[in-house]
Amino acid sequence: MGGLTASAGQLRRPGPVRRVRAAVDSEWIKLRSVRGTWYALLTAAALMLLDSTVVCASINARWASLGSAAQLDFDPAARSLQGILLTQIFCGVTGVLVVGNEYSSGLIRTTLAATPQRGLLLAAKAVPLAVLSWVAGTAICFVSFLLGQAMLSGPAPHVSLGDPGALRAVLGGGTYLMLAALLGMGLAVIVRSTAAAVGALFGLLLILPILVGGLPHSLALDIGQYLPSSAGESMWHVVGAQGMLSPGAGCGVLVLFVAAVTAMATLRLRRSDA
Amino acid sequence: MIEADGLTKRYGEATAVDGLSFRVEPGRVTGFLGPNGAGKSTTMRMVLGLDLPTSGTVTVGGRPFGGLVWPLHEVGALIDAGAVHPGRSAYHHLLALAVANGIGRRRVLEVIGAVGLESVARQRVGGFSLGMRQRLGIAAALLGDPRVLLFDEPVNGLDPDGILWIRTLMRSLAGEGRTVLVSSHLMSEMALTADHLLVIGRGRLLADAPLSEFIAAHSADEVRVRVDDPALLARELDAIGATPLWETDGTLRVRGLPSRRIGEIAAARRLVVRQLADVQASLEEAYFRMTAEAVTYRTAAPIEQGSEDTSWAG
Repeated sequence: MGGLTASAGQLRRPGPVRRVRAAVDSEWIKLRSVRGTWYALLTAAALMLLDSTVVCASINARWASLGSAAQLDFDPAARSLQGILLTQIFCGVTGVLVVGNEYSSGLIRTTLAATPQRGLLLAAKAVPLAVLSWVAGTAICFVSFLLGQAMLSGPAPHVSLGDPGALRAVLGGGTYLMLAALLGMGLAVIVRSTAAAVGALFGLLLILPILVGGLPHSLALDIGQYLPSSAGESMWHVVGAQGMLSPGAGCGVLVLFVAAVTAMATLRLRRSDA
Repeated sequence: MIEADGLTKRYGEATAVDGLSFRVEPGRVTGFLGPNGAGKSTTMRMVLGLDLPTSGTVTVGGRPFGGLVWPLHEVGALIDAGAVHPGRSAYHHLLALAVANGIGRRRVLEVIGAVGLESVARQRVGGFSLGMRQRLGIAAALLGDPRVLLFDEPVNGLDPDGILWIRTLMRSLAGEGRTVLVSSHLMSEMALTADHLLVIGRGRLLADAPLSEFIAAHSADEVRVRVDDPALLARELDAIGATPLWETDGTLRVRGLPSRRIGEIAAARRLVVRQLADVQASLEEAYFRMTAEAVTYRTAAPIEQGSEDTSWAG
């Protein structure tokens, strides 16, 4: 075993910056070296582009039959981005898998035996996930927007990236998808199970708005706008609907929500036996 | 060196580890022996800072594990060979761990070579046999060239070649002056690998002794003797109070009398001695004798429920 004692010792790298960098690099390798990450993002992209094309082409075709109120409220940017409602689940699941797989296999113990600084570990997992999901999410939103606007060739009106609010909506969409991924990761740390975390993600983003929608109208509007999904919707809309926060406020509410879940996840990871 | 002091872990009412104090010294293989559920894995998890002790402390090289900034350089561990992402290749599994502690690609390839996984390094771990996963787990433990190594049940699921390989590896790691702690419930394996034993049962330390000392302390002196007229010899032995036990083939087992003395008695009676041998107890016999003593001792105190936990699965 002489060869085994050769080269590991002198590679020690002191310093807190090096420590953080090492943990982040390690988690990036983990994220990119499983197919699930890429499948989830590819599925998200395919669904969103398909959705944008079909929805915008269909609106364009039946534009004349829409009522004048609907024509007045029409938000070309948001319609081309509404595939986010589906895509958010795939981005969220990517976040769930970053942690859920480690708990289901027991790998989390090996991970913690290499990086016992648990707060650092969670941050190290969040950084590559956030960067990847933001870059991919934003790219998907750009293509969806352009594809959707091309379908709105008239009589339905379309917008370009230079129009007021359009670029902000596209970037808001990408940011929303990143926040969905971080939400998934936080939930998975808290419940320590892929299945339960995916369930919680569905519940929060898709089921909860429906349940709240069943409340009396004024109550539904009051509460509804602060739900994570509805608050997030404002980020990729240009024309604000009734009961929708402003894009800035919506983004703030969602960020607070994700931060709260992440804080709970940090406590859970630091306090519980692995 | 690993040092535990009053290490205790309770899960609600149940006590998994109960006031363990021990030192695992460098330069030898220390066997961590006990039945399933005795608290071996819980203890190892506490050493690695994965589980927090209810009370007591455990340190590695004088520091708690949680205080190690780059732990793979100090402590390597195989906790669970199944703890891998099935969709990740062996190479990327090791690379991610290595990078987390500032260890380079060259070292990753080195340990892959050392455990003999070169040909499958780029394949996904999901298709690996248990033996290959054990090798992968050992490669991970070796990544940082650590002074302290922990192996939890490393020979589980290995074929004879793999078991021999691990045994040799443990011995050579200890030979290089490293601290090696190996848990197992397989005593025959321990007898071949360990220099020193920590025996635990129901979370308590039952013995902390060199292997040979442990066996000597818990084995009765016994001599097996075969003669052409065992009944005659038996009467002679009875007469001096060393009543022998009969085996079905006429072999006598004698306790409390050295073989030299038995030979003399047989010679005085002109008996033909066909076999005369001191019986060396195995680790297994010594272990069961010791736990029997422990049970006897315990029943003097109020009898506890569910004490039949010295079963040895596997």
